[in-house]
Amino acid sequence: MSGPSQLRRALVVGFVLVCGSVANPVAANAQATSFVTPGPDARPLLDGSSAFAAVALEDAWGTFSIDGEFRAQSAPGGGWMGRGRLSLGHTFDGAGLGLRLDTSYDQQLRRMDIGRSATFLRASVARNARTHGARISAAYARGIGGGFGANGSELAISGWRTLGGSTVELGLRGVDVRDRFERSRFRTFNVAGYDFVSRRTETVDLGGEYADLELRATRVVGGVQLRAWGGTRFGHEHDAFAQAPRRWVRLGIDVPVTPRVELLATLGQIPSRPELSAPGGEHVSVGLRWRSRSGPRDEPIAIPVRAPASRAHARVESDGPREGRLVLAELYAGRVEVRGDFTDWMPRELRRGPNGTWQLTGIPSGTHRLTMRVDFGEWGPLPALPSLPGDFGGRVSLVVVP
Amino acid sequence: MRSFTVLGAGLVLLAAPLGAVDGHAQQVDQRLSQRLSTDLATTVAAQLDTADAQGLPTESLIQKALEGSVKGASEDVIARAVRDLRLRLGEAAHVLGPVDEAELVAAAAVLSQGVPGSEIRAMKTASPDRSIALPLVILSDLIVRGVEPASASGTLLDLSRAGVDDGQLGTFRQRVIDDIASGALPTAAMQTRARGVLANRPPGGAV
Repeated sequence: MSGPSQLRRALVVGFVLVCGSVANPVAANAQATSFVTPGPDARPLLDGSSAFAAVALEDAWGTFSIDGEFRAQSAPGGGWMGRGRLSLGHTFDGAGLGLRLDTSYDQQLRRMDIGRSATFLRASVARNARTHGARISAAYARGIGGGFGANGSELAISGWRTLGGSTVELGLRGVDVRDRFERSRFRTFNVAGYDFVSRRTETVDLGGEYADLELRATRVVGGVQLRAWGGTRFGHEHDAFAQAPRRWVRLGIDVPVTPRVELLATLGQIPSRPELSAPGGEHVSVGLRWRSRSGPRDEPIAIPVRAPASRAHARVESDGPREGRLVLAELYAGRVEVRGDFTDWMPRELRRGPNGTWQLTGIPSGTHRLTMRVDFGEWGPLPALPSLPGDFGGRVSLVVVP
Repeated sequence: MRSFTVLGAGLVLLAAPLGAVDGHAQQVDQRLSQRLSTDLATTVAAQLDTADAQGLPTESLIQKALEGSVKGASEDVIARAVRDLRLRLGEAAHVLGPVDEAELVAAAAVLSQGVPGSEIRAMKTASPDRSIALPLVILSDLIVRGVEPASASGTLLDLSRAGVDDGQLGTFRQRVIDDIASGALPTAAMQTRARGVLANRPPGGAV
């Protein structure tokens, strides 16, 4: 296991986190993944395995949001790593404009000393419409670990849009790493029965400039979310990180197991983050995510602010003699189902049309009670249709098919 | 031998309609028996028999039981909901007379919200040749959104008498909802929008 081309591949085991239910409007996300951060044996900093578990809280108070996160991560060389993250955001729904501040702090605690740490502070401005959006962010990052330290500034810009049921995001991230770090090397020797320690200090230049161009795509097929990342790096970084791939492709899949539990898996390469002292390499991961509140996933995941409120609406059209057609418009989702008295209350999937439209044909004439759900979320009334409190809780929509 | 063949064919022909009836019953029983417990299916079946004897449609009762089942309601709650719906359907049939099931189901929903049967009968009298299912659904929806029941039923009756069609009623409902969402008082919003609709109608009702 030596030489830059020999990167370890990881076998991954997922864990289940048991989390208590959190009352609305707070949602909890739990994710546990075991993975290996690969690297050649010659560089202990870049080698080793780690596992992390994360619990994140995310509120849903109107357009203002606060996220908090704590992670515990086993660190290379033993010990544990904690992460605190605070994120403040505000979305101006009318304009689809969002502001967000993120900060995080990672700290690795080893048995005898303090290991790797990383600090990250980012400010983002995003403008999101229902089918497209853009974001620009500036960040400062500092990472120290394994005898290396660096800080860097980052400027990133990205744009996303929905294309034929997929969400595609193209981002460019430029990083300037400017730190010089003094590293001490100690050597113990014995002379005439006495121990002596010699110290030699050397300066490590971690400077570098690089830019990452990355394309991210997300598509939901039958409730399963497929993700793909592909990118390339321009410029240069310090040799310590040169073993990581400069071109990467990563595939991911989120499979709903229940409305609140998802199975996650990713496979591929990840680039290094010198400004965080984080190595890159090949990896495989499997995990489970639990959410306290089921419902449609934020789309796209990478955008830190919410899109304007949904303008989805439903209507019933005549579709031949004594038959009707249910049409939902401006509903951007991966899967839409209805159930009602014309389906014997069994879920029936709507057929996707262009521009966020969904259709269900063959509804018989009559007055029908029905509910819908989006992406395996909660069942509820259809937007813009008359609705009543149901006899068994919740609300049900009423439609009349002539 | 020939006489036995003719007799056998005759028995088959006689039994065919009985088989069809039995098949319908089996179909109903199958949906209930597959998704409800035996006790609950029996209870619901008794309600269906009663409704059938009263000349009431039974499909909506079956659907009510299935809805309760998929939503995880207790058996007592489901049985009560089916019985209450049968009673409301009976009251609606008494109020409206012979109408189709869509109107009966909509009327049953409105009756459960406290609208007097006389108001519903007056709406049907004002529109004897067309279904009042949609006006009743809109009436029900407006009441849920905070419009006073008496005012809502009176307004829908005025609109029915003026010959406002289902499409215009749908537009009327949406505008009232928009006004309420903008902060208007529900009853005032409905009355204002109704005045606007009626002001644009030609005298004498529908044209």
